[in-house]
Amino acid sequence: MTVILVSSDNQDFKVDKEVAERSILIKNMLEDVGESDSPIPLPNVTSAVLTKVIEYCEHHRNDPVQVPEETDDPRKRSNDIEEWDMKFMQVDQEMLFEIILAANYLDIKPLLDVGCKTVANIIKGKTPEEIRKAFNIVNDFTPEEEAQIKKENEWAEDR
Amino acid sequence: MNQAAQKVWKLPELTWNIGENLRPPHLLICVQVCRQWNEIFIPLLWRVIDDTKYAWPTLLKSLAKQYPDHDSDCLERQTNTPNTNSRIWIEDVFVKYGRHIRHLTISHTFLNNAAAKSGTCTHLQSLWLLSLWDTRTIRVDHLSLPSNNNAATTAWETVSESTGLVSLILEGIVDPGFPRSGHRAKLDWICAQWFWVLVLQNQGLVTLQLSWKLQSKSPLFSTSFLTRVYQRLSKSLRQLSVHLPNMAIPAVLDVLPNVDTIYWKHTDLYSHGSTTSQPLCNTTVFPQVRTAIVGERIKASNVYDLLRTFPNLQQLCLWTPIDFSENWTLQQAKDHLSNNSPFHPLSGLHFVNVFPPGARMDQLATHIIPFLPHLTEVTLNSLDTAVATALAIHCPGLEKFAQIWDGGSLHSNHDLRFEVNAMGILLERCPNLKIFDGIQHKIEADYLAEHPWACRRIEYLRCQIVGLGRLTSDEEAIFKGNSQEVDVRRREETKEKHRRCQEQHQKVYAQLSTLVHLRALYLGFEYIECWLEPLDPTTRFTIGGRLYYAGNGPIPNTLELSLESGLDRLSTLRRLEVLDFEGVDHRINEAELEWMVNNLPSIRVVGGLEEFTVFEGYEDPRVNDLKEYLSRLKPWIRQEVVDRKSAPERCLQRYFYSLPLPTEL
Repeated sequence: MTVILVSSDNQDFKVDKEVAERSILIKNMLEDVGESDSPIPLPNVTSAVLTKVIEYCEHHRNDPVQVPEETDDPRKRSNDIEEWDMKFMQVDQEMLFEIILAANYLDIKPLLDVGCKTVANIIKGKTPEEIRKAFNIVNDFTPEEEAQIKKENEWAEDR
Repeated sequence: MNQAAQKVWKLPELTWNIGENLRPPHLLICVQVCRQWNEIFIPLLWRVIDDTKYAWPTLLKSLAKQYPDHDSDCLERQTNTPNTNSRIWIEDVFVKYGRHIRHLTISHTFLNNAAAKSGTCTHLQSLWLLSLWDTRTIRVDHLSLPSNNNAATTAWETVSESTGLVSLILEGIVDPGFPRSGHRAKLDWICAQWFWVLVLQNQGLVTLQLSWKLQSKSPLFSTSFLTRVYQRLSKSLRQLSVHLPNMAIPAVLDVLPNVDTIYWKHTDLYSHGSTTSQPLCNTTVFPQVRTAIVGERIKASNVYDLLRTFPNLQQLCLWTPIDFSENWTLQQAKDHLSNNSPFHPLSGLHFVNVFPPGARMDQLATHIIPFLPHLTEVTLNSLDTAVATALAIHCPGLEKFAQIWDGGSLHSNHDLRFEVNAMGILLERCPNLKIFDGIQHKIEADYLAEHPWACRRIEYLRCQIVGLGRLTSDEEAIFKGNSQEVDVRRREETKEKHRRCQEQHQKVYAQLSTLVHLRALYLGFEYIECWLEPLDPTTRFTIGGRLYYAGNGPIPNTLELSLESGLDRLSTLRRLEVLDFEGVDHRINEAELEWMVNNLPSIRVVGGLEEFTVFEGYEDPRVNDLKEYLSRLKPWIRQEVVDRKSAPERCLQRYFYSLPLPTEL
């Protein structure tokens, strides 16, 4: 069984119901509507982003539904992103944040988590200046303010 | 910044999700980026404060050096000079950021006092007092004369006036006469009371730990004070860890009806110093208590008392082995447990400490386990036949067994010598077993071959498979025709040994291959904390072309894990994520690694290519080649490196500090 998703720029996407239901939002909509052929409008998602999101859902169509990690072995808990997801997330920054927003709107928790981890990984290991460069942010602190913030939170340094 | 990014940074649930993947050192960088990021990440950075972590210890140490008598100094300043600019930095930052803290762990007086004085740390959900360190030496304390009560009283009056928080309720509740100098007593008294101020500022506390240190700083002699503190917390408090002798546990629970997790030590649950245990809770029951951790010596009769007092207890953790010296008969135990049914719904029984040699636990199997038919998790020093059999018979739902401590090493000089094959009883007879985590437990290949496993749902297996007849280096050479050995009989013997070894391997792989739910298989462990003899050339030896040192070489008679020995039979383990063969005398080479990445679709952690060696300067080039080979094959597979701290830390994390932190967004 297939469903039709309509992006904000009015493109139709025909996908398997099973794939579309990776999105909790769509799953709930389908459950509410019942058997119906009418297309589902997604006014917050452009076709470019929707293409990516569907690609993700296709790849993960058979994943078990995510349950909260209940592992007490710290060796098993990790911030690792699996290989396919990592490649999938190698997109420009605009797209990365678009995917995060879409995953949030469509309620696809695993995609949202991978997106947020990717952003966190960009942040890790950088200096404030490098982060500003990476995300195109203007520094609106005076040097004194910046120094003070650093001093006040010095305790968080790794030593 | 692009538009989508702007939107993301404005949604708190998304920035929270991003921030959760960052540790404080990363967050420290984030808060310096710009004003917007500062606002986003400051609450995350300050959400959990633990003064034993990151740069806190260094900073607090230097503060203490700088202001050896800071507390009294500060006190005088508060009364004599209103100039707040002279406050030290730690007080300023707490005033500024204290409102973000949700979980606070204190071990140092400076942090304790600053947090309380700031008046801003009022949104705490958990407060853990680990200790109250300061600059003084213990020796000085003990030599000093008994205190001057007046000095202490004056000090307290000053504090209560300046804060106005707890005012007179603290009056007269602390015994300032604890032997130390008057000046010290005053400082200690102030410090302990700042802690109580902090507690009372946080009436939404969910978790509270009251350390024994409070008692040694300023002994409380008023039960009514504690009762009043508890009463203030009675709505919110759910987890209490109390290491004070002032109140009996039933009395504490009477005032705290929502506490479902309780950890006690040094309390009055059992009568002090008396040799016969006092069944304190004859009639009272506390159905709300789900988890109890007992930090003091416990007798079998105390365990029965506990089970009766807490009829809905789910998890019971005991710090010491149970003392069975009372020699109760089964009938006595039954009578003591209950009038109706002696069975209890407990699901987890955990011993927290490694038992000292000679700690006899024989009656665990006969006098405790039979009353606990709903047990699903057991944590124990070691399994012996009696306990394993009792678990198999009485606890059909058993899902998890864990050994308390991994031990120092698996090498014969240092291993813990647990009863071989006792673990087999659980594997054969517990169909619901999901986790067996006991690396010092051994099972022999021949035994294993004759006893089919019932634990088909097992997901995590960590044990040693031993007793495989492996060829020595010489024999290997003979077998492969690389040796000058001409003796026909010797060659035949070697062949026969090889055949038998292969057969053993096949049987082991056959058993393992039935465990299709397996996610982690740990076959070895190489953590060494024992002191080894200095480098001595005679302790070197070679196996399979690799150089080893005695006490640090591969563990003999373990699985080869080579394709030749039948490793490919494990291709049924489609869910296997972790394969660890650290320290095992394996024959894994390029072909085996290739097989792993191509035939174990879920694999993401491989451990054992890097072996820990205590001797610096020694590197096994072979091992490094293989590591590189694997990372070329599949770069995302993590290669575990032996962490000196991993084993005990894992244990600590799991059992000592396992009271979960409440979460919130």
